[in-house]
Amino acid sequence: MNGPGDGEQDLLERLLAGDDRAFESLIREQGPRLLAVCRRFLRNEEDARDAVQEAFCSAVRSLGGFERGSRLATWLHRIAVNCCLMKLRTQRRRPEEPIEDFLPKFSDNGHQVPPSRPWKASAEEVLEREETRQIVRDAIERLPESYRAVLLLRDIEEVSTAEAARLIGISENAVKIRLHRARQALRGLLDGPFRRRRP
Amino acid sequence: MRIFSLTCREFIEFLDGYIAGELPPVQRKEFDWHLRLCRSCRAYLRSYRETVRLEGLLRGDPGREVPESVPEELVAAILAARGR
Repeated sequence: MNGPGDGEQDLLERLLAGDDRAFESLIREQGPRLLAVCRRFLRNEEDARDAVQEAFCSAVRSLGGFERGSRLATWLHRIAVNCCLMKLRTQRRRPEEPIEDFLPKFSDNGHQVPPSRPWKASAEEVLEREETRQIVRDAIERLPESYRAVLLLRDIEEVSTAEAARLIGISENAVKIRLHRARQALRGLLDGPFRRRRP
Repeated sequence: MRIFSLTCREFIEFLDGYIAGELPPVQRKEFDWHLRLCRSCRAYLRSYRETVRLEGLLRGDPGREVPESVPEELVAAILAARGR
């Protein structure tokens, strides 16, 4: 396991001693990545910044419990994700597209309509990697919040089903159901850009 | 299309269980048969798997999502909040 280097150990000691300049260094060093993470979970910029602020404050309050040998960045990341989920749980629901809009459609006899068509062999064959990532990011952004949160936790953050259930405050079965619907919806959103033009 | 007792709707609805290997053997066989005979669901399965693979591109390094710096007003707000 990679442990913290001397630089990080020194920073940690200074933080524990209440060194304000050390705290500011921490904000400037880790803040950009945390802001990126919070923007993924919370579409609103103000909410994302609030979550980052809460994450740093929470981290300072709980520094005493920080496990030596872990990485500060990893620990802060987890705190930031928790702050985002807390914010999602407490904020008023904003109008958003219903997930049904992105799910596959079926005829009365269970036929998929229209039928699925193959995708291009590999998205990266057609597009630059960063272009592909942007398309995927934009599609995830369109998912309704409760589905997006589960998808980000399970598929991007690689949190277990049990942990995701605990963090969001729903059952493990509900996590599984939401994840599958979120993936279906994401697939529906990506179908346009990645489907082969000819069947 | 109903292949044996499975519709495309049912196939897609329980696809996550199929992929995870969680279906009982009899059900799994129904899914396997449906896949052999239904081109649309074969395409759907491949694109569903590709979707999960594409999500993996966002793991780890957030790339261009990471701003160059934290906005100064945010740095100030965090420092002020900590001071309370």
